[in-house]
Amino acid sequence: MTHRAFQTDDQLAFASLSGDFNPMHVDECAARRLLFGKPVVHGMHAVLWSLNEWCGSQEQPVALCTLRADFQRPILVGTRVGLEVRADGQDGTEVVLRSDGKTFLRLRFAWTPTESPEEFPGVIQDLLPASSECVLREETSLEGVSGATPLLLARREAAALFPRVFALLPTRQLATLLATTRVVGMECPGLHSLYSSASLDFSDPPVGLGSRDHSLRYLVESVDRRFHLATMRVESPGASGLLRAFVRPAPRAQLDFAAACSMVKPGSFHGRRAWVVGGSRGLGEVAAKLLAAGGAEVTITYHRGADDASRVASEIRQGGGVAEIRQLNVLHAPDSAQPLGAGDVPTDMLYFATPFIAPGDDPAFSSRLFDTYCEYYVHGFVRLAAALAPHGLRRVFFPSSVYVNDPPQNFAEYAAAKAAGEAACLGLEKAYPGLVVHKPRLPRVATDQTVSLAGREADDPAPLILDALRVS
Amino acid sequence: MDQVKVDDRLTEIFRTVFEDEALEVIGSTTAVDVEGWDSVAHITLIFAIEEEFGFQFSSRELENIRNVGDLQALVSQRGR
Repeated sequence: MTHRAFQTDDQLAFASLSGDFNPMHVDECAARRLLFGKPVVHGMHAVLWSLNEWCGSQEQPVALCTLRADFQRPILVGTRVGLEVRADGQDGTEVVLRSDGKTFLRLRFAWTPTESPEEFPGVIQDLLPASSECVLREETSLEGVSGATPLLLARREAAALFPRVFALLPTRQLATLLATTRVVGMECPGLHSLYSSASLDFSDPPVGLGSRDHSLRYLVESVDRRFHLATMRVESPGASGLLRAFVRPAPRAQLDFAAACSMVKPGSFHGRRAWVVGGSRGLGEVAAKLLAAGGAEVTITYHRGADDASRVASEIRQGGGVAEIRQLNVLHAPDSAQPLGAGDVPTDMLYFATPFIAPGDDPAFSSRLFDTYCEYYVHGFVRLAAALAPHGLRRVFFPSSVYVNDPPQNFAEYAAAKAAGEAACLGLEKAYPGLVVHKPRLPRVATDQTVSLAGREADDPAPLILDALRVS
Repeated sequence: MDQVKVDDRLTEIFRTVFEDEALEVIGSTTAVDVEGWDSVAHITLIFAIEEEFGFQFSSRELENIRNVGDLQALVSQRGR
């Protein structure tokens, strides 16, 4: 079995070749706020790599007759996947990409020997797609959307990424496959898309390839609102078929500062210097705005989300509040041997730092996942609180979870780490007399971490966080 | 529809979707009991059932599916 772990550089090279620069694939910072928390390998990248590996068993050029690709699970960048050939024959070849017993890609295709990959030399332009912005489309207005994207193939880059496919498959077919990911990721559904499947028929003669219109045309035939799934009919010279793509939920927008001011009595938090750790988004963003609305001087710390933190702080300042930002990685926070500068120590620390929260893979319990959560909810938390406590820190807010009471399936590691964090809170109170630690078990509320394709609704976190802040 | 035939056809769909030829599902089987039955697999499963039985679940029906028994009952009522 052949294995492969797609890395960030591979992603960028494929984005350049295909023109699909959707941030879900190439922007680590943006991807942390999206559905899977990390960059995801382009589905078509996985398809073409699989075809490239399969082509190793071929000795002469081949043309695809049909191709069906089902992107069953997202392949996160860095995940090692293995390729299995389950059936091999002209009428039906099936390959799958698997990891840890799960199938990520199922690819079925029929093929026939052919003479030359360049049937019409020079017709498919030897160009990289022009860079462009991802189109933002609403699910409600997708039906009936149509357009076209040119069939292009930058020969040198294609040969470097997929040498066997480039040497054996018709140029127009390779260009068509690349165009499908550009359509989905950049044009339709565009920014908030997730490629689900491609079903293409290459058996038509490539009529029109000699004309000027070398493009892949698309039309959204239907949108299944139950699953937020768009079905597009596509057509290019010699190919036709259907693409399916989910409309992903957008990053969750939290309440604006004006709304926060309408919820909080002015001066409620006057005199507090609050560090909101992980305050650039989600519950941290809500807490920062509510505290600032009540007159607290807020420092929003961020690890990677400098732009998000700046946005929140600017909004607070424009609304008359006091806010600044500070880069802080809780995994390397200052320990008690390295006190912070005088006047820098907060009276309040609200701790929202978290890794991406996802169901565990182990049906029983994953120690590795538990350790990851503990790095944030126990070790990083205690390190930072202990560094601040001797210098005037009076209140700590640790958001625990109702999952501690009753862990859902595959969230035992998360619940256990939150419970460990609660125990650490008790330890801090004993170690630092006078320090008050509030550790409410919050329910599931609407943040980037709780969005899903199923579109399950969650509660607005603002009233809940405000109640918790009033108690602390 | 004949309930036994429905159950057999549903079991075949489960085996295909979850790639487990030995998978057995009964009325009380839930997502917790089947490895890999996550939100994405659930959508694949629903599409496969709709294609096999020639109808489409409503959003309300989907929200109320708690276990395989609920699926069996819905398919018996509406499938062909």
